[in-house]
Parts: sequence; structure tokens; C-alpha cells
Amino acid sequence: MSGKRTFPTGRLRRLMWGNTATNASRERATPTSEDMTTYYLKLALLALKRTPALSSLMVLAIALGLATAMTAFTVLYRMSNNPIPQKSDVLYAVQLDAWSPERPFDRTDNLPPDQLTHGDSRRLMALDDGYRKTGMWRSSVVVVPENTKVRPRNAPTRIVAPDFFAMFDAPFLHGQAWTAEQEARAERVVVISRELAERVFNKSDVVGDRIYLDDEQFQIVGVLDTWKLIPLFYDVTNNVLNETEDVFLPFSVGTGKEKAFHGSVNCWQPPGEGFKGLIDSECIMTQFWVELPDRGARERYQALLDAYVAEQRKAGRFKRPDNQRVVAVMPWLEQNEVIPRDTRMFVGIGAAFLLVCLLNATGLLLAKFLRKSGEIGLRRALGASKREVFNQHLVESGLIGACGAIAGLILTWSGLLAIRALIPEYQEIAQLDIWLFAGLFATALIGAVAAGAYPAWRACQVMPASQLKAH
Amino acid sequence: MEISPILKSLRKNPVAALLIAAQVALTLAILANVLFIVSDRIATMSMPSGIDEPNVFTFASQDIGEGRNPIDGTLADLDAVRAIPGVIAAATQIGIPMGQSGWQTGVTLKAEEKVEGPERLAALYMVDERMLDVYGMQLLEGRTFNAEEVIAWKTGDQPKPPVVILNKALSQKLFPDGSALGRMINITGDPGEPAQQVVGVVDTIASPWPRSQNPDRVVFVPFRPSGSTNFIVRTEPGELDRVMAAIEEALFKVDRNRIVDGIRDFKTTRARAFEGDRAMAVLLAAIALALLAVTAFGIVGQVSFWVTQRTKQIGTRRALGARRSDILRYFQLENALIVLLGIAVGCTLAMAINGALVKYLSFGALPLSWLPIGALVVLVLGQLAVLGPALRATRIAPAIATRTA
Repeated sequence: MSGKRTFPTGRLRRLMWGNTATNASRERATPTSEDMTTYYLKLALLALKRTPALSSLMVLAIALGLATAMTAFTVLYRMSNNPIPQKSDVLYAVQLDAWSPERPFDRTDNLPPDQLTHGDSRRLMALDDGYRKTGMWRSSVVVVPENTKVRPRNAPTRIVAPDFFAMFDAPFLHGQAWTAEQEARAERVVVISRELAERVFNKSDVVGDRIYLDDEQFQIVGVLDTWKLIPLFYDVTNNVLNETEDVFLPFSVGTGKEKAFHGSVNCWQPPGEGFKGLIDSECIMTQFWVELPDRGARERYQALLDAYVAEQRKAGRFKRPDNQRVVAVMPWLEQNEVIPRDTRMFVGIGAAFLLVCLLNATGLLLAKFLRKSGEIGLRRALGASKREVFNQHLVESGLIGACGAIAGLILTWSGLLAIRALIPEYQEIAQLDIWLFAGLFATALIGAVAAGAYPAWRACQVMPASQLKAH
Repeated sequence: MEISPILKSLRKNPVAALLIAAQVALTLAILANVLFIVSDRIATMSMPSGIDEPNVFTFASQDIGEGRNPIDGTLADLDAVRAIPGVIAAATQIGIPMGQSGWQTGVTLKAEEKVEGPERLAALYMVDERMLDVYGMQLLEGRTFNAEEVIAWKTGDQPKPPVVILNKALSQKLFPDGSALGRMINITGDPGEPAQQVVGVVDTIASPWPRSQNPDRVVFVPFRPSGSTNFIVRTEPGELDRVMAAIEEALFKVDRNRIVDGIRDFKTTRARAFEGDRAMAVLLAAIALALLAVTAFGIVGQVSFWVTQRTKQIGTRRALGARRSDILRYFQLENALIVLLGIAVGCTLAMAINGALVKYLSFGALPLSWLPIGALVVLVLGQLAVLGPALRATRIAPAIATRTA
């Protein structure tokens, strides 16, 4: 071996003390694993300090790989978020297929259209089936403040049935939904968000107050507290990263007052003239959701849809084969490919990069461990078992992984910051939470130990005698 | 320099070399795919809009209540906008290139024909007689609309004009063998006898959806959207900011009971359309750089160890007459062999990764030309990385062979 391989006496003494202590305690009693871990950690720290360049190279590589993979995974994980976990199994999107007899709506999987015609929404809402349900669409109204100094502004609006609020657990801060009677009479009533109330009235308790929407007076019956649904699953034809709307109007009012459809209006045959022509056409532009508490309800509702389609066929509609169905929240998000393809690709590339970094760490650990073969041989000669040498090197790998995790956390945080800067609408998506944080540490430790396993095994194969001879 | 002693030494201790080869293989596989995706996104982002980008902006105007006649109101608004100094042309519009909202319709040539598949879809732009001035584009054939042909349009009206203008892409799609001028087409999306005559063909102009299956096919119809609608304004060079700042007051002078919002220059419209592509390109480019750095420094670290490990061997060889350049070449050749192994595996791996992207995520197929580019990059990277440790090895004195045990 190289003549340079000498130890400062202090360090040698410490190592020897370590080994003799281990041997001594073995005679007395089995050392606790905690003692050993602490001892291994001490050794690992020493080793880190001895090769600062190589160690920081490994830490940096692991940190970079970890940060890339975690940044990508965070976006995927947050995009795959269940927006309404308490009810995602009982809320169902309704799909009917009244599309063109000439061609399917969806060429690849023959999925039914992603929206309903206004007429189908109206008629399904009118059925007396006892389930909570709502047809809806996104629109926009002009909010005209009382204070004439404030300029009027557009407010995102959703046209819904009164069941909407209970179905989607809308958090009422004040007041409640309008009643079925008010809906039927198309009364000028409105539920608004806390943000809009505070902007227009400078306070949130405005139930009973009046508000001008599109030059008409509405009575406020409810104010919703801040309400986040990520993704905004109930309308996938609009941007699913939109915030919940500021204004909620009765379906009958939205229809009667001809509130525009802000989303996709998709036609396979041209509609009639004007708004009335549009809502009685075969164009699809409304979403429809139903709450079905159990399997029985789901089957009954499916039967009800089948009957509805059969009845509509008599009127000359639904010229395609039966393709009506209900789809629960999470399958609905998947079916509509809410997670961008780029996100999935990014995760794949991130994972592959992490693999490169771990391979890199394996190579460097191998070099690092074998570089001190002399020391290992000495320790083996002084009585350290193969297992002890192996464990000690695994601990050293783990320590590097832990350092990588800390550095990786900082880099992940910067990566998410970069994503928020590049894509402003990802403010809520590119955020770490406690589970991602834990996942990051677990990945780092498992990855580093896996990367260190082979080098550690090689280290414990070092023959004690030959090393003694070399010195 | 003989290759056989290198191979012999590699075979004796293959794991460390294989680790480097594996890293190189994965690096190449990732790099080829990442470079391809980044270049593809850059190409998408630089797609031409066909309009006078630096001098165009758009905004939305909305009347509150039912105060004024939408048709007369819009004409008054347009007069007011055109009167602002620095304005070349202004129009109300449906459809701005890359604006991501607008109309799309199916185009057919015969009564019995059906619109099958997205290749027969075209964006529908509503324009008036000033269309060339407003977009700043070229007429290739025929004529533009006359003022008499342009009619006011409100939400809900069906677009069934007697005359239409096509852009180059749609004209070529519909009539690959000849001129579109004078031909009859059906743009209603409804089965029926073609009733729209093509009177002109204009140069390239993008659709509102550059990321869709129809990025570039547009049909123009002579309608002037009225009432609450979007406007497009083209200014003299350098006047854009000033006109944008003045627009709101000019319109409030016509009528106060309104909302003017979404005042946006075309640069912003374009940036918004390609936000996701830009983000992906930036992130992937950063990953590519980090990947190259990690692999390069990994090679530096491992080869440095090999140099230390072989100190005695190198000293002996030097003592036996090997020149410094022989030592350098040994390490360079050894690295090249390892990297070549990595490249062989990496090319296969790159195709496999791309295959997965094509199959599961509908990405484009990786052109094979990216493989030699990626291979060259990792080969040069390997040679650069090995240079430092190898040069250190050449400085090992021959005498070291005699000094150690």
C-alpha cells in the first residue's frame, strides 16, 4: 500500500480505542445497538470530514437528484389531490351521449361527451328522484358597487341549483342557500364569496343586503367563507386551477336572464338563433352532478338515466348506442386528464435523474470506502467483525443521504419557487407539505443506503492480514 | 497505445467501470430526450403569429345594462379608438392569434361531405374591411372584404356569410392542387350545399390555439362583433404603450356605463399561450445542465481514486520508460472505452424512454439524429472530466515505485 497511508496518532488512538471498547464490552455484555449506532455515526462524521471534497460531491449529487425528482413529484402529487376527500365517493358527474349519430364524441375511447345540453340538465333536475343534484355552468356578471368611485368589475359566476352548496360542502360564513321555492320562482337571490363581500361592502356579514349584478338588484342570502377546491373538479372544461367563483346565481335566473356560457360550447349541429336557440339545441355547455350515497342509489340512478334516454329516444334524440353513466370524482379527474402530460413526463425525467445521482453516489462511495482499505484492514485485524464494518459503512452512506436530504430540501424549495415564478397559476400546486417533506427524507435515506450497500459490502471484504502486512 | 492492457485491467475490476458506464448510459438516454423536448418546445414557442406583433394590443369592452344600441355603440367606440394619435387601425374581433379563445368550425367542400377528424377544422375570425391593416398581414390572392359586405354581429347570430377569405394554410389544405379563389365552401359545420365563396387568400396567420391540432388554419368572415366584445388595435411603431394607456379614457368619453379590461399587448398574449412550454423548456434545460455536472464530477471523483490506487503502478511504468503522454493517453483511452460502452447502452435506453413517452403520454417520436449529438456530448464530457485526474497521474514521479513497500 501507499506509503502516504499513515494516520495522525490522535485519530489512530481514537479508532483503536473504539475497537478495544467494542471488544471489551463484548466480553461483558452485548453492546446495545444504540451505542453502536452512535459510535458508527461518530466514525461516519470523521470520515466525512476527512474527505470534504468527495463527501460534498456526493451530498450535492444526491441533493440535486432528490430536488429534481421531488419538485416534479410535488407538482404531480398536488395535481392528483383529492379536492373533496369526505365526499369524493358519493359525488358523481353525469354523462349522456346525445352526440352526432355520424361520429363519436371521443374517437379513441368512445367516452360520452364531457358536458350535457342545457335541456338535459333542465330535465334531469326536474325529475323527482329524491337525490341532491345540480346542473351548472360558469358565467360572469358585472358587479356594480354602491360606491360610485369604485369602478364596476366582472366577477366569476356559477349558475347552480340550490343543492349545489350542500353537495359540494360549500362553507357558509353567513346565511344559507336559496330555497327550492326561490329557485322555482327564479327569485333574484345570490350567494357570494367572502372576498367579494369584503371588496364591495368592506364587511362579510351582508346577508339581506342588496347587490347590483349586471344592472339588476339581487338579495344576498348567503356568504361563503374562503373556499379552495384544488383542482376545481366540478367543471373540467374551464381551467381546473381557477378559484371557486365569487357569485352563485339560481339556475332558473341564469337561464331566464341569459347569462353567457364561459367555458366550452360544443356543437355537432348548428344551434338556433340567439340564447334561446342555444339552450334548446344539441350543443353541450352545462355540467351536471348528482350525490348518490350508496351503491343502491347508484344503481337506481343509472336505471333512471337509462329510462330518461329511452324516453328521449321516442322524441327522436339520442341516436347513438346507450352510453349514459355516472362517474365519481377521482375517476372523473383521471378521465379528463386533469394532470398535464408534461407533469408526468417531468416526474419520469426527475426519477431517471435521481437514479443517475444514486449510481454516481455508489461509484463515489466505492472509491471513498476502498481508499481507506488500510484503515479497514487495521480495524478488522483489531477484531472488528465483517458485520460491524458493513454496518458502519452503511451508516456512513446514510449520513451522506441525510446531508443530501437537507441540501435537497433547500434545492426542492428553490425548484418549487422557480415553478411558481414560471407558471403563476401553480401558486397552490407547487407547495411542499408535511408528507412530501417526510417522503423526501425517506427517499434520501433509502436511496443513499441502497447506493452504499455494495460499496459497504466491498469494504467488509477487505482482508485484515494483508493490510497488516502492507504496513 | 495498446487497448488490451486497458481491457485486461478493466476486466479485473469491472464494477467501478460498469458504474460509470451505467451513469453515462442513463445520462445519454435522459439527455437525448430532454434536448429533443426542449428544442421541440423552443420551435413551438417561436411559431409565427403572422401579425405585426410589436405594435398590436387587444382589450375587452363590456356594456353594463341595456343602455345603448350595441351596433351604434360599437361604431362610436371604434371611431373614438381610431381617433387616438398613433393608431393605425382598430376593429372589434372574434379570434386573436394565440389568444386561446374564439370560434372553431368544420369546413367542407361538398354537400354530402362530413367533417371527419380535426384536419377539417378551422378557426373562424370575424373581421371588417380593415383586416389587413389591423393584423398587419399580406394579401396573397384575390381581395379583402368591401365595407358593404361587413355586417354587424351579436352573440347568438349564426355565421353564414356569402363570402369568406382563407389563410394560406387552410387554402392549401382544402385545395392542394390549385387556387382557392372563386371556389365555394361550407363553413357552417352543418351538412349542406357549399354557400360561401372564397374571395381572397391571405398569408400565414396563427389560430387562437397554437397547441391544438389546428394551430394555423383560419377562415375570415365579414362580421363586425358589436356590443360587449373584444377589440384589436394596431399602432405606429413605438406608440403602443402610449395608446394602451389612453384607451380607457377614450372609451369612457364615449360612454361611462361600461367595463374596459384585459388590456394586453400581443407580447403578453404570446407569453401566456406558451407559458407551459417555456416553463418545461427552462426546467428541462436546468436538469440537463445539472445532469451533465453530476456525471462529470462523478467521473472526476472516481478517476481521482483510481489514480491514487494506481500510484505505484504508474510510477513503475514511468520508471520502465513510459512517457507522461502515455500515462495521459492510457486514462483517456480507458475513459473513452467506458463511455463508448455507456453510449451503446444509452442509445437503446434513450429509445426506450422515448417509446414510453410516445406510448403513454403521446409525445413525439425522438428523431434518431439526437442520439449522435447526445453521444458526442457525453464523449467530450467524459474526456474533459478525466483530464484533471489524468494530468495528475502524469506528474507521478518514477521514483515512487522504489519508495514504497
